[in-house]
Amino acid sequence: MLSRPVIDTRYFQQRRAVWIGLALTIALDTAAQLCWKSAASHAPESSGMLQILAATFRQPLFLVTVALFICMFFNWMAVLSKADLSYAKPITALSCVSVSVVAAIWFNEDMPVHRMAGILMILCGVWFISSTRHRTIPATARSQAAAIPMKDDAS
Amino acid sequence: MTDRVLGLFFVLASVVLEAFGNIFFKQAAELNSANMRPLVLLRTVWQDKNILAGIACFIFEIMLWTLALSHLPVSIAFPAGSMSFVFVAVLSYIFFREQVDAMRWTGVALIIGGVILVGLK
Repeated sequence: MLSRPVIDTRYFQQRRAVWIGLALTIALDTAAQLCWKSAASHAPESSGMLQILAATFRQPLFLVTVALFICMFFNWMAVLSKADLSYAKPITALSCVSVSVVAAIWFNEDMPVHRMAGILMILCGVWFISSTRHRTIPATARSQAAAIPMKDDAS
Repeated sequence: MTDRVLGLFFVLASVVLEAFGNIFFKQAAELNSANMRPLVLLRTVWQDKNILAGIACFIFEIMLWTLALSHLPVSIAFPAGSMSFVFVAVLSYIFFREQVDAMRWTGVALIIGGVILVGLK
Protein backbone atom coordinates (compact mmCIF):
# COMPACT_ATOMS: atom_id res chain seq x y z
CA MET A 1 0.00 0.00 0.00
CA LEU A 2 2.86 2.33 0.68
CA SER A 3 4.77 1.40 -2.45
CA ARG A 4 5.31 3.88 -5.25
CA PRO A 5 2.55 4.24 -7.83
CA VAL A 6 2.52 1.30 -10.22
CA ILE A 7 3.24 2.36 -13.79
CA ASP A 8 0.82 0.26 -15.76
CA THR A 9 2.62 -0.88 -18.91
CA ARG A 10 -0.71 -1.93 -20.41
CA TYR A 11 -1.86 1.70 -20.31
CA PHE A 12 1.16 2.74 -22.38
CA GLN A 13 0.84 -0.20 -24.76
CA GLN A 14 -2.78 0.71 -25.38
CA ARG A 15 -1.89 4.37 -25.80
CA ARG A 16 0.74 3.43 -28.39
CA ALA A 17 -1.81 1.29 -30.24
CA VAL A 18 -4.24 4.23 -30.21
CA TRP A 19 -1.60 6.52 -31.72
CA ILE A 20 -0.67 3.98 -34.42
CA GLY A 21 -4.38 3.82 -35.28
CA LEU A 22 -4.64 7.62 -35.31
CA ALA A 23 -1.56 7.90 -37.56
CA LEU A 24 -3.17 5.40 -39.94
CA THR A 25 -6.44 7.39 -39.86
CA ILE A 26 -4.64 10.59 -40.79
CA ALA A 27 -2.61 8.90 -43.58
CA LEU A 28 -5.71 7.22 -45.07
CA ASP A 29 -7.77 10.42 -44.77
CA THR A 30 -5.06 12.43 -46.51
CA ALA A 31 -4.82 9.92 -49.36
CA ALA A 32 -8.64 9.72 -49.66
CA GLN A 33 -9.10 13.49 -49.80
CA LEU A 34 -6.40 13.94 -52.43
CA CYS A 35 -7.84 11.09 -54.55
CA TRP A 36 -11.32 12.57 -54.19
CA LYS A 37 -10.10 15.98 -55.24
CA SER A 38 -8.31 14.53 -58.27
CA ALA A 39 -11.38 12.51 -59.25
CA ALA A 40 -13.68 15.54 -58.88
CA SER A 41 -11.43 17.78 -60.95
CA HIS A 42 -12.06 15.69 -64.07
CA ALA A 43 -15.53 17.18 -64.51
CA PRO A 44 -15.73 19.63 -67.42
CA GLU A 45 -15.75 23.33 -66.49
CA SER A 46 -19.09 25.01 -65.81
CA SER A 47 -21.06 21.77 -65.67
CA GLY A 48 -24.05 21.26 -63.38
CA MET A 49 -24.21 19.51 -60.04
CA LEU A 50 -25.33 16.13 -61.41
CA GLN A 51 -22.78 16.18 -64.23
CA ILE A 52 -19.99 16.83 -61.73
CA LEU A 53 -21.21 13.92 -59.56
CA ALA A 54 -21.58 11.59 -62.56
CA ALA A 55 -18.13 12.51 -63.90
CA THR A 56 -16.63 12.00 -60.46
CA PHE A 57 -18.23 8.58 -59.92
CA ARG A 58 -16.88 7.33 -63.25
CA GLN A 59 -13.28 8.06 -62.30
CA PRO A 60 -11.19 5.02 -61.23
CA LEU A 61 -9.72 7.26 -58.53
CA PHE A 62 -13.18 7.55 -57.01
CA LEU A 63 -13.18 3.77 -56.43
CA VAL A 64 -9.81 4.15 -54.74
CA THR A 65 -11.38 6.86 -52.56
CA VAL A 66 -14.24 4.55 -51.54
CA ALA A 67 -11.78 1.72 -50.78
CA LEU A 68 -9.75 4.09 -48.60
CA PHE A 69 -12.88 5.16 -46.71
CA ILE A 70 -13.77 1.50 -46.04
CA CYS A 71 -10.26 0.88 -44.66
CA MET A 72 -10.64 4.01 -42.55
CA PHE A 73 -13.89 2.70 -41.08
CA PHE A 74 -12.33 -0.57 -39.85
CA ASN A 75 -9.31 1.25 -38.48
CA TRP A 76 -11.55 3.86 -36.79
CA MET A 77 -13.61 1.18 -35.02
CA ALA A 78 -10.39 -0.33 -33.65
CA VAL A 79 -9.32 3.11 -32.38
CA LEU A 80 -12.71 3.75 -30.76
CA SER A 81 -12.56 0.42 -28.93
CA LYS A 82 -9.46 1.71 -27.11
CA ALA A 83 -9.82 5.49 -26.83
CA ASP A 84 -12.34 8.18 -25.85
CA LEU A 85 -14.24 9.67 -28.76
CA SER A 86 -13.51 13.16 -27.39
CA TYR A 87 -9.80 12.24 -27.46
CA ALA A 88 -9.55 10.53 -30.86
CA LYS A 89 -11.87 12.73 -32.94
CA PRO A 90 -10.14 16.13 -32.50
CA ILE A 91 -6.75 14.56 -33.21
CA THR A 92 -7.96 13.56 -36.68
CA ALA A 93 -7.90 17.30 -37.48
CA LEU A 94 -4.21 16.65 -38.17
CA SER A 95 -5.33 15.53 -41.62
CA CYS A 96 -6.10 19.21 -42.33
CA VAL A 97 -2.42 19.83 -41.75
CA SER A 98 -1.22 16.93 -43.89
CA VAL A 99 -3.67 17.67 -46.73
CA SER A 100 -2.64 21.32 -46.97
CA VAL A 101 1.07 20.47 -46.75
CA VAL A 102 0.82 17.72 -49.40
CA ALA A 103 -1.33 19.98 -51.61
CA ALA A 104 1.29 22.71 -51.32
CA ILE A 105 4.04 20.31 -52.36
CA TRP A 106 2.28 18.26 -55.08
CA PHE A 107 -0.29 20.64 -56.53
CA ASN A 108 1.85 23.73 -55.96
CA GLU A 109 -0.97 25.34 -53.98
CA ASP A 110 0.39 28.35 -52.16
CA MET A 111 0.87 28.45 -48.39
CA PRO A 112 -0.14 31.90 -47.08
CA VAL A 113 0.87 33.06 -43.61
CA HIS A 114 -2.62 32.60 -42.09
CA ARG A 115 -2.61 28.96 -43.21
CA MET A 116 0.74 28.36 -41.53
CA ALA A 117 -0.65 30.00 -38.37
CA GLY A 118 -3.68 27.69 -38.58
CA ILE A 119 -1.44 24.63 -38.91
CA LEU A 120 0.48 25.76 -35.84
CA MET A 121 -2.77 26.21 -33.88
CA ILE A 122 -3.99 22.72 -34.82
CA LEU A 123 -0.66 21.24 -33.73
CA CYS A 124 -0.92 23.08 -30.38
CA GLY A 125 -4.51 21.87 -29.92
CA VAL A 126 -3.52 18.27 -30.62
CA TRP A 127 -0.68 18.62 -28.13
CA PHE A 128 -3.16 19.76 -25.46
CA ILE A 129 -5.48 16.82 -26.12
CA SER A 130 -2.63 14.32 -26.27
CA SER A 131 -1.61 15.37 -22.76
CA THR A 132 -4.92 14.04 -21.38
CA ARG A 133 -5.59 10.35 -20.71
CA HIS A 134 -6.69 8.57 -23.87
CA ARG A 135 -9.43 6.81 -21.97
CA THR A 136 -11.70 8.02 -19.18
CA ILE A 137 -11.59 5.92 -16.05
CA PRO A 138 -15.12 4.75 -15.14
CA ALA A 139 -16.54 6.70 -12.18
CA THR A 140 -16.61 3.58 -10.00
CA ALA A 141 -12.87 3.03 -10.45
CA ARG A 142 -11.96 6.71 -10.20
CA SER A 143 -11.44 6.84 -6.43
CA GLN A 144 -9.03 3.92 -6.48
CA ALA A 145 -7.30 5.32 -9.54
CA ALA A 146 -6.65 8.57 -7.70
CA ALA A 147 -4.44 6.61 -5.31
CA ILE A 148 -2.66 4.78 -8.15
CA PRO A 149 -2.12 7.42 -10.83
CA MET A 150 -1.20 5.34 -13.87
CA LYS A 151 -3.62 2.49 -13.30
CA ASP A 152 -5.98 2.10 -16.23
CA ASP A 153 -9.48 0.70 -16.07
CA ALA A 154 -9.78 -3.04 -16.34
CA SER A 155 -11.66 -3.42 -19.61
CA MET B 1 -28.28 35.97 -48.45
CA THR B 2 -30.99 33.31 -48.17
CA ASP B 3 -28.70 31.06 -50.19
CA ARG B 4 -26.03 31.49 -47.53
CA VAL B 5 -28.45 30.86 -44.64
CA LEU B 6 -29.68 27.71 -46.38
CA GLY B 7 -26.07 26.62 -46.94
CA LEU B 8 -25.21 27.14 -43.27
CA PHE B 9 -28.31 25.17 -42.30
CA PHE B 10 -27.03 22.26 -44.41
CA VAL B 11 -23.60 22.57 -42.78
CA LEU B 12 -25.18 22.53 -39.31
CA ALA B 13 -27.27 19.47 -40.18
CA SER B 14 -24.28 17.58 -41.58
CA VAL B 15 -22.15 18.51 -38.57
CA VAL B 16 -24.80 17.15 -36.18
CA LEU B 17 -25.07 13.96 -38.27
CA GLU B 18 -21.29 13.58 -38.22
CA ALA B 19 -21.30 13.80 -34.43
CA PHE B 20 -24.17 11.33 -34.03
CA GLY B 21 -22.58 8.94 -36.54
CA ASN B 22 -19.49 8.89 -34.35
CA ILE B 23 -21.61 8.45 -31.22
CA PHE B 24 -23.22 5.35 -32.79
CA PHE B 25 -19.77 3.99 -33.75
CA LYS B 26 -18.45 4.64 -30.27
CA GLN B 27 -21.50 2.94 -28.74
CA ALA B 28 -20.82 -0.14 -30.91
CA ALA B 29 -17.17 -0.11 -29.87
CA GLU B 30 -18.08 0.23 -26.19
CA LEU B 31 -20.65 -2.57 -26.21
CA ASN B 32 -18.45 -4.98 -28.11
CA SER B 33 -14.87 -3.81 -27.77
CA ALA B 34 -13.38 -7.29 -28.11
CA ASN B 35 -14.82 -7.66 -31.62
CA MET B 36 -13.48 -4.45 -33.12
CA ARG B 37 -10.43 -6.03 -34.74
CA PRO B 38 -10.80 -5.57 -38.52
CA LEU B 39 -10.95 -9.26 -39.45
CA VAL B 40 -13.58 -10.04 -36.81
CA LEU B 41 -15.58 -6.92 -37.59
CA LEU B 42 -15.62 -7.77 -41.30
CA ARG B 43 -17.91 -10.71 -40.50
CA THR B 44 -20.09 -9.13 -37.83
CA VAL B 45 -20.50 -5.58 -39.13
CA TRP B 46 -23.89 -6.22 -40.77
CA GLN B 47 -25.43 -7.50 -37.54
CA ASP B 48 -24.53 -4.48 -35.45
CA LYS B 49 -27.43 -2.00 -35.35
CA ASN B 50 -25.30 0.79 -33.93
CA ILE B 51 -22.76 0.50 -36.73
CA LEU B 52 -25.51 0.43 -39.36
CA ALA B 53 -27.07 3.55 -37.79
CA GLY B 54 -23.65 5.23 -37.84
CA ILE B 55 -23.13 4.34 -41.52
CA ALA B 56 -26.61 5.70 -42.32
CA CYS B 57 -25.69 8.97 -40.58
CA PHE B 58 -22.55 9.27 -42.70
CA ILE B 59 -24.40 8.56 -45.97
CA PHE B 60 -26.95 11.30 -45.17
CA GLU B 61 -24.09 13.54 -44.12
CA ILE B 62 -22.38 13.20 -47.51
CA MET B 63 -25.63 14.22 -49.24
CA LEU B 64 -26.18 17.21 -46.96
CA TRP B 65 -22.55 18.24 -47.26
CA THR B 66 -22.79 18.15 -51.06
CA LEU B 67 -25.88 20.38 -50.81
CA ALA B 68 -24.04 22.71 -48.44
CA LEU B 69 -21.16 23.03 -50.89
CA SER B 70 -23.54 23.93 -53.70
CA HIS B 71 -24.83 26.89 -51.64
CA LEU B 72 -21.62 28.05 -49.96
CA PRO B 73 -18.02 28.71 -50.94
CA VAL B 74 -15.61 26.07 -49.55
CA SER B 75 -13.80 28.81 -47.62
CA ILE B 76 -16.94 29.21 -45.48
CA ALA B 77 -18.28 25.64 -45.46
CA PHE B 78 -14.99 24.01 -44.44
CA PRO B 79 -14.33 26.17 -41.32
CA ALA B 80 -18.03 25.98 -40.35
CA GLY B 81 -17.72 22.20 -40.56
CA SER B 82 -15.14 22.25 -37.76
CA MET B 83 -18.06 22.82 -35.36
CA SER B 84 -18.36 19.02 -35.40
CA PHE B 85 -15.56 18.92 -32.80
CA VAL B 86 -17.74 20.86 -30.34
CA PHE B 87 -20.72 18.55 -30.87
CA VAL B 88 -18.51 15.47 -30.51
CA ALA B 89 -17.06 16.77 -27.23
CA VAL B 90 -20.48 17.65 -25.77
CA LEU B 91 -22.14 14.41 -26.90
CA SER B 92 -19.20 12.30 -25.66
CA TYR B 93 -19.75 13.82 -22.24
CA ILE B 94 -23.54 13.38 -22.31
CA PHE B 95 -23.63 9.80 -23.62
CA PHE B 96 -20.40 8.26 -22.33
CA ARG B 97 -19.44 10.53 -19.41
CA GLU B 98 -16.02 11.01 -20.95
CA GLN B 99 -13.83 13.41 -18.99
CA VAL B 100 -13.91 16.46 -21.23
CA ASP B 101 -11.79 18.66 -18.98
CA ALA B 102 -10.19 22.09 -19.46
CA MET B 103 -7.21 20.56 -21.32
CA ARG B 104 -9.48 18.90 -23.88
CA TRP B 105 -11.63 22.02 -24.33
CA THR B 106 -8.50 24.13 -24.84
CA GLY B 107 -7.31 21.63 -27.44
CA VAL B 108 -10.69 21.64 -29.20
CA ALA B 109 -10.78 25.47 -29.21
CA LEU B 110 -7.25 25.70 -30.68
CA ILE B 111 -8.07 23.08 -33.32
CA ILE B 112 -11.25 24.92 -34.37
CA GLY B 113 -9.33 28.19 -34.61
CA GLY B 114 -6.65 26.42 -36.64
CA VAL B 115 -9.12 24.76 -39.01
CA ILE B 116 -10.80 28.15 -39.61
CA LEU B 117 -7.44 29.72 -40.47
CA VAL B 118 -6.41 26.80 -42.72
CA GLY B 119 -9.76 26.93 -44.57
CA LEU B 120 -9.77 30.68 -45.21
CA LYS B 121 -9.00 31.77 -48.74
